[in-house]
Amino acid sequence: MGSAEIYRIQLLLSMSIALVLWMRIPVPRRPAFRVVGLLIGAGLLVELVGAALAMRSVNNVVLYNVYGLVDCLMVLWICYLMVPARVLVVAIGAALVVSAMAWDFVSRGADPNVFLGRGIVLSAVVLTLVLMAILWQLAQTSAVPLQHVPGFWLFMGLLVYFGCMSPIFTIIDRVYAQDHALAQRLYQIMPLLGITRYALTAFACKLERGTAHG
Amino acid sequence: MDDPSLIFAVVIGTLLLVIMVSIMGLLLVVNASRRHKHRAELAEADLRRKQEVLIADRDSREQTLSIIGRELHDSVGQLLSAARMGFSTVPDYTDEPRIMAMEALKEAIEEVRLLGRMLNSEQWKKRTLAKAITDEADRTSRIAPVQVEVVLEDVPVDPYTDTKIILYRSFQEVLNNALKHAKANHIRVRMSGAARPTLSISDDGCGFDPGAVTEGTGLLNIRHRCALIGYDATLVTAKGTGCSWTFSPHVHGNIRSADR
Repeated sequence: MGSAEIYRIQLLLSMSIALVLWMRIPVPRRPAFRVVGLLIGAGLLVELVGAALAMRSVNNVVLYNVYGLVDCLMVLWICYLMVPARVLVVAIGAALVVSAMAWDFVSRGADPNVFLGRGIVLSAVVLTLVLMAILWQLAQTSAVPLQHVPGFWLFMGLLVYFGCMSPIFTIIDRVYAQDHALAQRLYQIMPLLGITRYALTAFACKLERGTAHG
Repeated sequence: MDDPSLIFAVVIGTLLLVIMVSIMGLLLVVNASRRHKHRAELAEADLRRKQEVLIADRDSREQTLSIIGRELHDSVGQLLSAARMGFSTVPDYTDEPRIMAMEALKEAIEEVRLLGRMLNSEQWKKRTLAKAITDEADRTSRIAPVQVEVVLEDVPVDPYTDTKIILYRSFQEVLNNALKHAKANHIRVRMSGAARPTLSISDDGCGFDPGAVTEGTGLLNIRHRCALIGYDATLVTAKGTGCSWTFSPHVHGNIRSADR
């Protein structure tokens, strides 16, 4: 079993733990956390289907392209539900994400089997900025210590993921042609970011369970 | 770790990790400082509200006392003056009872005028604290079996009206306690300082054990009222040793200088 498989198993495990902890949040859940459940479920499903397709040597790029866009939009939806005051920032963010993905898709000849790396990097930059604005708003307004706020850990997980994704993808894009080994090494960081993202999401769900009424 | 690509990847990963941890730390610090500021603002607002309540309470009391003072002066004082004038119309009375009644009337008129002046807060604009305390001490010495001695040191400037009224009312409350509860025979009042004087009142009464007695409304009111003008009210007492009050301005206290 290679390191890629080990990382994938760890990622699936962290996603499963996050999903289990999300399911333990008493119903009715806050609207933002309903979308969080959807996000974890969709991510888990995409990873499982993607792995199954990869094992059968079927091209799964379309799946990841579509998921990349849906993932970004769902994160923005959560941002809006969690901090409605930042609706304009979120709306602009959503428009930029859709535009970036559409631009990359069109600029690559509208071929769905080409990975929309540049679109995803640009979307990650946009999401990083939106998430930082949301986290700043939370830090300014939260009356309870931030470490006890589920939203803080949820957004920190997302910030780690999207914030690190763009520089890593950019470096990979730059060095891929000259140093394939370095690109491979850098790419190995990505599952770690995914694991961190879902581990922090799981922690946010645990906190939400403790604070939720019901 | 000879592989340069691995080292580069580790460096990049570590750098990103440090950035993320720094962002997290910054957010936690910002939030903690915001909450601290918010708590301080709430505490300040609460203090302001309490001060406003105390000021309103004091103003209302002063207004009532002023009304009583005016009524005493204008109504009771006038009636007594009328009675005295009635007596004066009787020519050359020499009998003892009438002379005594005339003297009593004269004293009553003086007392009512004095009381009227003390109760009327408008009078405070003309009256000095030193004079008010001396008058009240004289009056108390006359009507009660107690000797009230007043020592004035370095009081060339009269305090603001707020300070005057509150220090005077506190003095009255302490005097009343010394007569009513402590059964004091001798009370010593010492006033020193200029615009923000220190007032000390000590008696030779029975005193009390401060640990055994819960502070009643009177003592609490004295402290709250003094806090309003930036004063500390300190009581030193023990059973059998009398009471000693000191009203002194805070060193860096909040000074209410508005002359109301």
